[in-house]
Order: sequence, then structure tokens, then C-alpha cells
Amino acid sequence: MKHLVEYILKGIVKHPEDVVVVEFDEDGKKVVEIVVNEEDVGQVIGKDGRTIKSLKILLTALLDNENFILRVIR
Amino acid sequence: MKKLRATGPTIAEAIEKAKERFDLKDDEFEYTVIEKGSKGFFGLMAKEAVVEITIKNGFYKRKLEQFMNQVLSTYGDINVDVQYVGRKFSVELGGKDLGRLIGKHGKTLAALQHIATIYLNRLSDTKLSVIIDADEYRERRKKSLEQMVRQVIESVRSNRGKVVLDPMFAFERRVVHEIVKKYQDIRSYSIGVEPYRKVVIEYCPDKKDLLISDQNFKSSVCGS
Repeated sequence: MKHLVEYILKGIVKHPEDVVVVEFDEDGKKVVEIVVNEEDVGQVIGKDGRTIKSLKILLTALLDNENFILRVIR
Repeated sequence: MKKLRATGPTIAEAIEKAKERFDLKDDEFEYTVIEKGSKGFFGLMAKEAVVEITIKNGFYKRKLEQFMNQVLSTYGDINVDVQYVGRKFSVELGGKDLGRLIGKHGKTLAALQHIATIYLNRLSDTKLSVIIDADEYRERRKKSLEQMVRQVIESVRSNRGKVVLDPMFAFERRVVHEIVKKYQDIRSYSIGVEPYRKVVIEYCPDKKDLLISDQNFKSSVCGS
């Protein structure tokens, strides 16, 4: 899952070398934290959060589970 | 499409540099020489060669295929076929594990399409469009939409009222509007905000007059 997120993000940002994805558990919930270059934060979230929502939908389909958090750190 | 410039001591080296940097294959670009370059006199007055490289669609097709295959490999046994006409790229997915990839009302398919569009446009200067279909899902969806819209049209005609449809994606709303357009006495428009925007189909016997008298107003109301 971490690799998939990393691969997709690297494909859509201007600075692929700055992409960092961390996956961990927090209060029994899976959390995926995303760090990208300052310049790419907007791109990753997208207009009205469309891109980050799309990413979440893709992961939900993969895990068959909606119970996780996708977080973009700036 | 993308144009870029590359420099190097010779033309061949400049091209080689660009190929390496953008992961280009021999048949995926064309180039024109801007500056031939010269060695100069014992390194004095040396000039670098400059070429302008135009990336062709074949490159985007390969890249998109590569990206889709990589992403979808985590979803199981899925094959990817990319075709293009001009700036429109269409991806057809096949295989056994498509169900969860389509998602409810094609939600996952739409998400995948959004991501793929961003990916492809990151590589291009001009806008390229990507449409993803799985096992002809979109075709089937279009047919069932048509059927549904016809039924709704019959019913608003008979009771001279209007019907508000369920929320739909933009491309689905467009299909609905296009069908309704063919009927002289029915009109359609969208209300609400994404992602809950929905189409209203309404009985409107003087649609024709409306169109002539107030075209601007109509187009702003009827926009999807």
C-alpha cells in the first residue's frame, strides 16, 4: 500500500525526489502520512480535494476497507 | 505534446542527453537542429550544439501503459490497453479482477481516471485527456442511462411535471442532457454542488420559444 501511494504521488508531482510516505497505526487506526514538496501540496490535494479523494477511493478499493486516514503534511 | 531543448558538445550527444533525461525511445520524438555547434579552435570559440525535440504521442502511450500497469498490478490480474486519437487517450481495462476497480457507480474508475489524467499531463505541455473504461462498463452505463432517461421523459410528459434524478458524475449528466436535447418539449438542467450535483428533467412545452427569446439565460441554466 505504501509503495502504491509512493508510486502514484511520484507520478503526479513536480518534485518526485521529495515524496515521503509513512504508514503507521494510531489508536488502532491505520494512518498514511504524505510529505511532498511545498510546491506540490496543492497538486496532491487538488481542487476541492479531488485528487486526494481519488487516492483515498483507490486505496479503499484495494484494502476493501474505508477505515484509514490519509494525511498530507505541510 | 511537448517541446524541449537540449544542448551538448555535438548534436548526437545533445539528443542522447535528452533521451536519457526523459526516458525517450528512438521512435518517440522528432528533432530539429537549432545550433550545429562547433569545436572551435583548440577549445576556443567552441559552441554547444542545440536541438529542439518534439515528443510524439507514442511516448505518452507507453508511459501511460507503464503507469497503469504498475498501479494496477496491486489490484490483481488486470490487463491494460491504451489507444489514442490526437490528444485523446483511452484506456481499456480487462481481466478477472475488475469489479472492485469499477466501484459503486464507477466511482473507483473515475478516481483512477483523474489520477491518470494528472500523470499524463505532468509529462505534457498541452492538455491531454484520458478516458478509462473497464470491460465496456461506460458503454453499458450509457445504455442503462438512456433507458432510464426515456422512462423519466415519458412520465414527466404524462403528468406535466418534473423529476429530479439521483446525483451523477459530470460525464453521466452530459449523457442525460444530450438525450434530452433531442426532445422538443422536455428540458434538463443541473442543480446542487459536486459531488451531489443532479439533473432535473422537466416538461416544458414552449422550450422552442424559450430558446429563441432568451438563449443566454437558457445556456447558463442548462449548463452541466
